[in-house]
Amino acid sequence: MRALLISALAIVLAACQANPTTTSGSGGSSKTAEGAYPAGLQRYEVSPDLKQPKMNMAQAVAVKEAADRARNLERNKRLSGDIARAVQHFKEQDGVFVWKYRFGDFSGKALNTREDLNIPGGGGYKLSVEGKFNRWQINALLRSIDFGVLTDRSHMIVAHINKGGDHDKLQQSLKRWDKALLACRSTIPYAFGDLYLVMETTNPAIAALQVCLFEETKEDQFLSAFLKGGHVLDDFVGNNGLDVIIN
Amino acid sequence: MKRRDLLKMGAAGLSLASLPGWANIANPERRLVVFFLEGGLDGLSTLVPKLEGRLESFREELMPDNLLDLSSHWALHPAMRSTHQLMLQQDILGIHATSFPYTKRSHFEGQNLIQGGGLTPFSESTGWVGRALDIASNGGRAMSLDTPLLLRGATGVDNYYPAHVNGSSTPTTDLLQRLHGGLSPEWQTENEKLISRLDGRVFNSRDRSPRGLSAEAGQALSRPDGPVAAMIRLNGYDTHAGQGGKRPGRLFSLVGELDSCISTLKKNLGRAWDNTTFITLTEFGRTVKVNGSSGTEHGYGTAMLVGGGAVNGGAVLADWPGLAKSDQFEKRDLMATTDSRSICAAVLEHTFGLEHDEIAERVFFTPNLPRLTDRIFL
Repeated sequence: MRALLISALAIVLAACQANPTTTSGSGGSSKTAEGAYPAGLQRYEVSPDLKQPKMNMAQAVAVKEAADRARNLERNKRLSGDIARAVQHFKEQDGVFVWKYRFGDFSGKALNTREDLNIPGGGGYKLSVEGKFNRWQINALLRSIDFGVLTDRSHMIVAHINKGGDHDKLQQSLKRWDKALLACRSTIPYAFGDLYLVMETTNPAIAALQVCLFEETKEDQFLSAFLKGGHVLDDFVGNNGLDVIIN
Repeated sequence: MKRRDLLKMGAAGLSLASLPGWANIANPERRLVVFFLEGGLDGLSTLVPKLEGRLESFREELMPDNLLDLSSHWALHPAMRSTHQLMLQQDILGIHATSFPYTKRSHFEGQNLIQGGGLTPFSESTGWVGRALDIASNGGRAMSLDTPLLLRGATGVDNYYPAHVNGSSTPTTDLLQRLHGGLSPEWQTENEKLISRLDGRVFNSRDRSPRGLSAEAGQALSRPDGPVAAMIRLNGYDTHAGQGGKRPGRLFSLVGELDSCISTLKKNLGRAWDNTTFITLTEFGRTVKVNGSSGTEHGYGTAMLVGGGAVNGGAVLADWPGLAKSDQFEKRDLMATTDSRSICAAVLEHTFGLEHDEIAERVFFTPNLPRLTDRIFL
């Protein structure tokens, strides 16, 4: 009799084990009854209504860029005045404004190794250079910066020019630049340096601002040459000194 | 000073291991990051088993509101928003009820064991990552003054601490304020605007906080010739008191910091995220029941996170043991049903292209260690 009872109990227990109240998988059931769980290592999927497609980084970047571009193009419909001004000196393609000019010649050397910039929401490099830019001897700290605000992305070069010595003409140029900043109501933080050129941007308002600065300073030979030669200087920063040395 | 106080004082740290023979590895572009959570992570409040009906009855005050749902079975702590997003994007896998085979609940023994990967605490003078690197390469030379046990190998690996990381973890606008006096009046106006915009919001990624070190690790690991493995230490997980849950507490900031480290690492790895795997390790879990100080005591089973581009994420893996008193380890802790070493072995197999059997035998000295690689990676 006792053996019969034990056998019956064993059958009941085995049946309980073989029929857990939940299954593995995506949200198969609500809260599991206490004390009964699927046996073995289970994979509990994230709920299908929450799960997003898995993408590698290139795919994720492409998807975000496409969404940003679509949003910006929609926004740009309301910025026709800025666009009209921007295209005076920028080429526009698919919502990206690229500075038209690539004039000038820089021959010189880097004074140190190119260094990564740590800018929240951006990136870039800085490099001290000395050399000849067209006919001007310059000693500058150049920064090549990518930055973004919301869905916009821009690329700029910033130069902190050595004001010391007998560079009277350069001093005049920098004063003119300061006046232009005020006249154009520049919103780019001055802390980045003395001169800047946004060479690529998805924001027509920023491109229009750059056009304003160019127009306000075009009578100044140095500033005009600097702005038209921004791509040349950027190439020098971007291609020079590939590694940051960690000691 | 008590040992517990000493643990609280431990600084965050980053160690990076490069590999002179890296070209010999099957997949030289792959990288490994270990987030070492010192103090014993409460897995039950971090990766919350909603499928467990008894949890609230044991620790109602420790259960946060506004959990981040993963499914009807699981949820994440509300401070882990980035982790949650990455789980939904299938880049992070949660694994629950795990532990190294250690049940004594001592920080020092536990931390030594999970770094050494041996069969008993203090039995190994090398770490499991270091031994795997030994097998994967021809060895190299030790360059660091402070190589953590985890990364130590028999022949040594190139190892360095990024000594140039010299910022503060609480950056200020001091420099702008010092410059202020030397500026002309109109520039001072602009400088004031800049200071007011930046004050309290300055983020210097090159700081020695775990988040800053995660940024540093991400940048270093992303370089083609960069180190292959990094260990980032986060401390303070020994939440005996004021752990928080319904009310704010320590765990919120602790797992929030981990969450921030994970998102910062990903951002700084850039495309190298696709080839990087991170795991979280902690010496033990914590008691199921809340203690008298609104905290938890040292326990056994806990939760792990494994993430990266190659991880088959978007799920929680668990052989859930249940929380009935009779199911708890020694009637107080979450039972561990998955050996953490199996997870570590899978990560080593994927990252360094080693055979599982070799890892089981030569790295963890456990030939019959279950293989989970196919359960964790795509």
